[in-house]
Amino acid sequence: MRRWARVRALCVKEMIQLVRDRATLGMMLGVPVLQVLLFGFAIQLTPRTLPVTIVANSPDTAARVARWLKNDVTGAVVQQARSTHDAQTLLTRGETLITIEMDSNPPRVTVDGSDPVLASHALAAIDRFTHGLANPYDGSDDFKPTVEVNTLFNPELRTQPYLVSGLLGVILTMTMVMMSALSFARERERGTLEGLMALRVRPFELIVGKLAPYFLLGVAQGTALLTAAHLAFDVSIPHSRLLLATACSLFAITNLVLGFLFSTLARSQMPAMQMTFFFFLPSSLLSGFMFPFIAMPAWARTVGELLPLTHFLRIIRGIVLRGAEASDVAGELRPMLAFCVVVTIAAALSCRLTLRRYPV
Amino acid sequence: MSTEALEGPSLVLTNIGKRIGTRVVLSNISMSIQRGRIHGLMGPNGSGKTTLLRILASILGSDTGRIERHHGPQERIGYVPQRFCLYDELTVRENLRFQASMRGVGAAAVAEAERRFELGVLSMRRAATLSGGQRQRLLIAAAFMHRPTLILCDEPTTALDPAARGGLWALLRRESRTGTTVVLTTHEEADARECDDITRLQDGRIAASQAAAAAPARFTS
Repeated sequence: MRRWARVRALCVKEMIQLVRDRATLGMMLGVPVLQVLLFGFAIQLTPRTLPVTIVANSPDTAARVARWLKNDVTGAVVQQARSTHDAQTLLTRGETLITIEMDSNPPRVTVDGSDPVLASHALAAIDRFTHGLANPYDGSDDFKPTVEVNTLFNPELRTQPYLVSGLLGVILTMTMVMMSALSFARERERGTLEGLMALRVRPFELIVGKLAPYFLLGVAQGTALLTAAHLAFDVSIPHSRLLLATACSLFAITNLVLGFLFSTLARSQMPAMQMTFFFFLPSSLLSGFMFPFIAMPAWARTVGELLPLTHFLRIIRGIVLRGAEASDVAGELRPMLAFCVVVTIAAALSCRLTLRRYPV
Repeated sequence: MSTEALEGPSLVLTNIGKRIGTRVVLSNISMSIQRGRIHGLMGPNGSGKTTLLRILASILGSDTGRIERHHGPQERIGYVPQRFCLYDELTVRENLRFQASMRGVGAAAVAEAERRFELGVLSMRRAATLSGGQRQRLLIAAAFMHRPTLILCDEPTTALDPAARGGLWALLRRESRTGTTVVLTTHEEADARECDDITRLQDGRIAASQAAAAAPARFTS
């Protein structure tokens, strides 16, 4: 009987600790709710829209094809490019999924194959569309039912290059945010922060001094992952390695500083870990890593646009899978840089405040 | 150092007040700490000793009042906290090197600290593997390695055996004779007897302040 009394005492003690640990309680109740909401409302496997670009000298032809597309292809969002080169640029930037060149003979349809799931949808839609062309809406058009369909960038629609390149972003997010989130919180938890404060350490010194080693770790991680991807899955190493290194560096720094911000807000390592997890969950689900970004509803895409991983995935996949150059990914680098600047300012202010309010 | 240089106040505190959260930790603390003397801050737990020491170390800012500092540059403060604040994963030498780099003193200071505090045989051992007394010695070595002019110790004798305690007091005496000001907190009557001056705190206020020689036998009771 005494044993059960002791077990009961332990249970009661544990329950009191759990109830008073609001962060853990919040995570245990909040994360499942967040997951249900995200999977239920945000995650879709079928794309809602299919961005199509038409290249045609004649405005009439372009308008007619656009009309057919809107009738035959669900979710087709049609834009027009002035030249094949412009259309190719849109494909490389990931801004369109399908291009239709009306002025070549036969008309040429090109599908971006870098994302095999989206490419499969696009090819199926094109198939329906060309079948529809066999019975044209009016008999006077000059668009022949025979079309040449090409799949660019990943013609075999292999899954590995797409997933492995995206994995780089996910791994960097997870490790960089987590490692830096623990770093400052660890100093606080172990009492070594007091020693640093006695050494009159400044926020700038703390941020740079603590994060630089993790940055080097991130560089090593990225290099190892890309090398393994190249050797094991034949993922091509891009020509623009400097651009790749720049993008990876900016992304790693952004995540490190974000983790440091979490670290300054947490009193110990556990809440810092929980904050990391809360950030990582939407990052992995709403960034387009696992599920097509264009399949998500507008609100989820808006949230996704705020996440650095979303932009990094577009950059890395652009560089690795589509051979994108700096001008192609500049539009994605800018929001990532803005996020980095904002988070750095917030981290510096939070660090200063934490040092000033110590030991609270 | 001349006799004149050893005299006069090192620190003058005027109306120092500090609130942490909603709790008033220090209120109206005014006192003068003389250069080259060992000044003990005494009082029960929660009386504000550690907070006052942290304010003197510039780790905390005070909410009210001001401190006049005559002990030299801020960098010349040596601080020994109550809790071990060095790195368990680093060896003794690596910890001392880190301290030396942060304080801008050279490698010679590390060797000197190892010699002076008898840490040479422990230099390659990780701090996590040291005994309580050895860790305290490492903390003190780190605080003394840059030749501070103001030494602040938060209950420095707690983890020390009688021999080490005697050694620490001998060291503090030696340092104070060269003009270094020492401020320490303690619960121990034996420590109080070693101090030149004592300030007793109670509920964040000064309850008594006098030279140790004039203090009653059971000053801390």
